[in-house]
Amino acid sequence: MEIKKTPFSALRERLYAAAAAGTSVMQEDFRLQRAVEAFQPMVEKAKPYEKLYKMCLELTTAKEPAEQLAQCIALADALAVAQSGFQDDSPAEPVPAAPLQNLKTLSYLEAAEWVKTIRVGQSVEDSRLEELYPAAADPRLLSAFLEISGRDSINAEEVAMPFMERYGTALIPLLKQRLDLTNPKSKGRQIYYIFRLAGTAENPYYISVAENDEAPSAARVEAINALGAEPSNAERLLMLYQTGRGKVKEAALTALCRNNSALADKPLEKQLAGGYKEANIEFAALCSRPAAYEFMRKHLDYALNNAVAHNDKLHPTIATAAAMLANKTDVDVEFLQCAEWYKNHKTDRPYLDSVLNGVLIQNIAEHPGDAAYESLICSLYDREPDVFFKSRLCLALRKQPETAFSAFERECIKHPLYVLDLLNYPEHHADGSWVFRSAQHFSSSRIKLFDKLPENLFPMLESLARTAGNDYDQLCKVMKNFHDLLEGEAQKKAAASCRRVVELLLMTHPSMDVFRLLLAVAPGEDHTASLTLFLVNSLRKTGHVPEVWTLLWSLRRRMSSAQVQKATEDALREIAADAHISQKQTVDSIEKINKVLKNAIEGYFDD
Amino acid sequence: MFPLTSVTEEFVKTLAPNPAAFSNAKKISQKGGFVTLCRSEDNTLLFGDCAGSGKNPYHASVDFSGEAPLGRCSCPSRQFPCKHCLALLVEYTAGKTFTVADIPEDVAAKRAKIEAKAQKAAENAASPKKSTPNKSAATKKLKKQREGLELAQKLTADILSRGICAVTPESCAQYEQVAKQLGDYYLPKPQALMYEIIRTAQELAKNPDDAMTHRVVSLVVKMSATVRKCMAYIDQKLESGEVLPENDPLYEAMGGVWKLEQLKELGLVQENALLMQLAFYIADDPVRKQETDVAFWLEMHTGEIHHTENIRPYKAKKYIKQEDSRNELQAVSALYLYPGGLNRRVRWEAAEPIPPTSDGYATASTFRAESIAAAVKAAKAELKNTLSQDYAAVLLPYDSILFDAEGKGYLRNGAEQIGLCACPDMGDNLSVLRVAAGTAQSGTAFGLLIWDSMDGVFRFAPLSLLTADSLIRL
Repeated sequence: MEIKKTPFSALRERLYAAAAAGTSVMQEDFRLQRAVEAFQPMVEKAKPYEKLYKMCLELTTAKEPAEQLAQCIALADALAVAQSGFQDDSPAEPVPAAPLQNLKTLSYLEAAEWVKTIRVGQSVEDSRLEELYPAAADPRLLSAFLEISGRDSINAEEVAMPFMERYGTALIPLLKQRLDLTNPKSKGRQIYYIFRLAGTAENPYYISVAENDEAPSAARVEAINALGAEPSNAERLLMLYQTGRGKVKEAALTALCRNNSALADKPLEKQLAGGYKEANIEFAALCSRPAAYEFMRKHLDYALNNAVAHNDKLHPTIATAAAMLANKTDVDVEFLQCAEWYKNHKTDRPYLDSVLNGVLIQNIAEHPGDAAYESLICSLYDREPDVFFKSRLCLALRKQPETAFSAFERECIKHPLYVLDLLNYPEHHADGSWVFRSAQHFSSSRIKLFDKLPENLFPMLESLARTAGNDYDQLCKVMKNFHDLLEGEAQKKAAASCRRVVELLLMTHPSMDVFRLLLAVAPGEDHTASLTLFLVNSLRKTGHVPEVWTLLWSLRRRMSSAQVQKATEDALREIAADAHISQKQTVDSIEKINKVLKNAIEGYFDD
Repeated sequence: MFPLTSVTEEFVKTLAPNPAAFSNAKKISQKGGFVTLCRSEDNTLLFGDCAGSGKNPYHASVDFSGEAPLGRCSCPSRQFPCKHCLALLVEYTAGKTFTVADIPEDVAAKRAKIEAKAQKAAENAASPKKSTPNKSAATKKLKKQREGLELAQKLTADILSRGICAVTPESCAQYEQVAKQLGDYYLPKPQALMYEIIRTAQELAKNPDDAMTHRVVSLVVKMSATVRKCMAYIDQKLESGEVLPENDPLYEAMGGVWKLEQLKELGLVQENALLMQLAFYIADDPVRKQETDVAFWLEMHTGEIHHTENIRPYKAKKYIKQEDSRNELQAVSALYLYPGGLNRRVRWEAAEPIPPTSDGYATASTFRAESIAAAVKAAKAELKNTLSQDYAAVLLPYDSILFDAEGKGYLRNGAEQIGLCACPDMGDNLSVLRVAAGTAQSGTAFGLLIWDSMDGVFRFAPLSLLTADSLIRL
């Protein structure tokens, strides 16, 4: 906004300058004198101007020049306030309508506590992270997220999720504003979030950052990564590859590969000619270009034929080589070779199936609706159902979620771990969809499985409770995760299902996770009897009581010390009377339980 | 008697001395800390035994027989009310069953004591002893203040004579000594202003900057004006012999603290006020070493916007209850108003919370200024006084919120458009506005009109948006 300089504003400016310089040198301040003279014609316009003029004339002759100057400035300020305007016609765009549903207002102190937690940047506890989803509905928390949006950390990304879900594309201008391209240390993570929100719609923005030689390289890398999602950027990426250096060059090639562009052929060939190294494995896994395929084939053959146990300087292991099967459709033979090898060497490579399924699941997540990747899974499952069931179930859940569990009921019972791995970390998004992330996948990326929770999910999980080999703890965690994300009636139903599972498992397979599930689904209830049952049955089934400190930690917010005391005393009595528990075990157990009791009484519990 | 029906979780939060006390109370409730839960037959007392870390349970009770709930507990906590009393109320709000029981003896005895005290007070009120204010003490104080003001006057004259740019860290140290002395002259406000000048001058010495120089000059001019006006005020009072405080903001400008009785005597009381909180924030002031809980309230009958200040010096933070934002309307039987013009400071002793309704928000919107120009005009009348606050809190109409390519925000109402600025004591509330504006595209915005002394323009610092059925705090 342009400010007009009038004789009045010039005089006011000189008065301030005189105060800065000191009244002791005011006599020599010819600029002030000129400003006073220039102001003289204004005196006729208004009486206050006349008063100011007269006061200014007395500045050099006043007995107390400092006091006189202060009064002149005070009057000039009052006049300036009186004649100030507000109109600012700078060009600007109205904020587009984007109604936000269910905005929430936390109390100021609650909001301030969240802002502090987010700003600190240390890992936010899982339970707090869950609470952040509803809390993010208060827009005041946004400023804290924006503050940390430039940080490159897993915690920042976890914190970002609730805000991205809640505010969506409305965050884009704010993230752009937060990105400081003049700071060489800037990580440019804001671009990553923009890409997550807008995808290729912000392509011109990514181009502007990627091609900005002055921008910090980390920000350019993020922009180039985003460019990789749009095939029409291939030539631009090739140019960046040819002109860029270091990480920018590497990112450009990565993006070209991700595009599966023919323009990637020559640079990829050149890159992969460097032989086996970690970066080349990643390049080869990104596309199905001939050079990538050949590289994968060569190293997989060698690994399978020589049973490479550890990555060495020249050769990757079978699992590492198998990871290069990603983003390729015509590779059934290679998958089956790996499956065959896995079946024969399960004890050597217990997790190879996870890698194979991880690659297949990632394929359908990154190429949604691509029939070639889907039929690859189906054909592999037909040939090797035991190895590829996890991928097949994943595909079925994406295609027909309501019938998937019933269609593969027997297989679910047979391979409970595959089912639980797939459903391990659910996220319930604002649009109602269910997205899952799994460390067991090749990457830790997320995959959307269904829009609505299948009706038979909990019955299926209950049936696993009756049959699931050694995976009860994971079953309890999965059930707890689902329960915590549900609301209202759906949560009540889930809680009832969880309680049935707990009742069964407290008798058959008591563990900390079983007890934690009970605490989660029935908060505020008196669990004294269940705790007694848990302690006694743990001893009966496993020969030892559960980890004392873990138990205490879980209980301290849910039960009072009096309740824990009573439960342990009851357990002690029952154990003492139990003929099935050997004498030595009893002694050990009583010692441990006594320790629990002692700690409870000494105030471990924050009553 | 305080109605038990008014006890909601929100209300319990407001009773808690700090957020940790409330969350601890919730924890006690969640893990079933109460062994017994009882209530008196007439619903004036909730009480129960709560298991603690000691051998015996604590006896906690909350008494509703008075105007406000009164917590009592046998625990050693110095917090009032303690987490056990709060937990008892949480249990009540959670709908737990309270069995009817006789009022415990110790509570009955305490009630009898309070009743006797109240009776005595009523008797005293019926035949009031006329309190005679100590005029000679007031005169002595005014004379002492006058001496202090002369000291402050010398100080400002010295700064202006040397020149702001010539103030060095060494001279700041000297000024600090003098500023310290001002505390002996019952002049806490001028003293705080002096400290602010010194701190800003120190910053200026480290990083010379036009804006900072301008800021120091403004502060020195404000100090000079305060001294001049306060001296004239004292001289006039001493001359006339009317030495007691009167309805004049200068009393507070010198650091005078108003008592509610004094405000009542001066007739500065509004009966049956209904207040809606428009904004709340905590202002940290490291110079004065204090935090202030600031809230802006709309009086729903008159449309005036008032503010409250809960000052918590760092040293006493633990012992002064921290305020929090309030979503409910507050029905106040006696609202005490401080002397002043726009956005007067207010206080009250007791208020009844009333859940907000859509009608309430609609009524609040009717009190917005007719136009931005009208609001600015009213603000000018206030802000041209050197001693006034740095802002005018206003409700502005708007039909769109705009942002330019650089992220600067504007509020538009018809052909009027005002630039936006962040509120110094808030976070990045313009980013919040940018998101919230998608929901509340037009309506009423509450915020502060701030005059930018360097650019000579008014800007608006938005604090909340009023929609048809809610208040979006920024």
